[in-house]
Amino acid sequence: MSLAGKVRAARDVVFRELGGEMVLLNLKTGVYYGLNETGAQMWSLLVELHDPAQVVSALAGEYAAERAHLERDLKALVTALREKGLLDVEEA
Amino acid sequence: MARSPWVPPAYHPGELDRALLPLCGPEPLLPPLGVNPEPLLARAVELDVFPLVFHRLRRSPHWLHGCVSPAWEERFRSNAARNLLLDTEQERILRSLRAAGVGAFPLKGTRLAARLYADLALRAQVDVDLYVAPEQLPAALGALEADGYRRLTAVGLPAERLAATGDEFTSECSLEKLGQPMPILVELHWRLLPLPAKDLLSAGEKGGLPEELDFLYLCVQASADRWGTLKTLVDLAHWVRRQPPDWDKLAAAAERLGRARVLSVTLQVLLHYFDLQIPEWVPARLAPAVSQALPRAAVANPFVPAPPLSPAATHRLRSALQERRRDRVRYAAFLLRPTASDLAALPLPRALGFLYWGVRWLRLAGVLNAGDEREPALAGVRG
Repeated sequence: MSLAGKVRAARDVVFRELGGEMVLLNLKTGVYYGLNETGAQMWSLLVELHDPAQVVSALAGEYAAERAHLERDLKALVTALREKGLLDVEEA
Repeated sequence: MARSPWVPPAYHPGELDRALLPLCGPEPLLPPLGVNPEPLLARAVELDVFPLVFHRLRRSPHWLHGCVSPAWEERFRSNAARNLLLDTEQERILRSLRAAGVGAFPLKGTRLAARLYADLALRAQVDVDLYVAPEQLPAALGALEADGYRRLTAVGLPAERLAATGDEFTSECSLEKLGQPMPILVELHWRLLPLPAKDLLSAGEKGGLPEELDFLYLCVQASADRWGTLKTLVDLAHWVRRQPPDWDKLAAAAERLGRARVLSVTLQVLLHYFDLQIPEWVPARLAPAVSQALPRAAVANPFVPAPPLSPAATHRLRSALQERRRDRVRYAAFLLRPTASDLAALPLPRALGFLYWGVRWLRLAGVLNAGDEREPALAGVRG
């Protein structure tokens, strides 16, 4: 997938910081997922900005990492969350 | 602190429990280097304090990453997700009950976890416990059943009849929501402490009990398990250390409600296991309530599973915990009243309802099988 589409938390997904990580739970399917600090920040930006490209820009302003590296990590996260039914993606 | 004749049983912990107890306390002490975390975590699971122990070990500087099975991490996350589900469902049910005109409030559960540990993930929880006033039990059951919940107990018993049964230990109706990815259990309770119904109704409208009554309720819960459930003791210890109750209000409420004995024993048990600061005058004030000895088996050891008390011993203990004569008489009268189990065992038309009293008394006398009721009959019990 590209980072050009829009994303949002899937319907019926609740999330909260618990036990030192961000826990995402789909109430309908019972699927849950735990995100570490960096993953949690990516998730928060995704549900706030809905635009993965903007998320990469925001992260690039904060981390001294190459943009390509951030894009790769974000793509991997978006793909995993989409496969688990925790994130909806509208392809551009 | 002055000690009453009721001291907790001899406590000779093994190596694991010696490491575990300070780890659960409000000022956690890490186990010494060299303690194998695997059996320690397994023991924490047995004692129902796994999430707190795992979280603290994981954050400790000498926790060796990768030296324990990843299954523990998954277990911790699974508990966190489950608590998130229960918390979300609890808020949804409370909204639904409010819409049905029922003033309910949560007991223990995620609200307690948030209050004591500031994190829902750090306390194990299996269900959602809610209080509703007896007058509102029919409406509450109706709303939950319309929402897809099905009763697991008191099935088929008219709610009005159910509302007339039970005491602070036994008024409960379990419901389960089916068709969910994770089954959700809800328990409704309609009697708490010996409080007048109007006070409880008012608490329901305000969304909860005042702090001193909430603390006292947890003490009564601890007494129901003979202070033998480590999780409850850990909750109370965190409460005392992190948000010390208004001791004067708490003692006054305990005296007013005839629960000074329960409060006094609870504080002694807490001091036995944890390093807590409780003002000297509190036990001194409660001392008159503990001048009479409790049965020897009154206080259990949370580290050694005790065989369940016989029904008669349970009743004797609960009666002995009533410090006022009028409360003991009330408890004896309660034992003679038909229970939810009696009512559910033999459906009778309302006009024949008086027959339930006979069923109860026959069960108490051991003539009829008491079945698996939660309120044990005195049948076949030696003194």
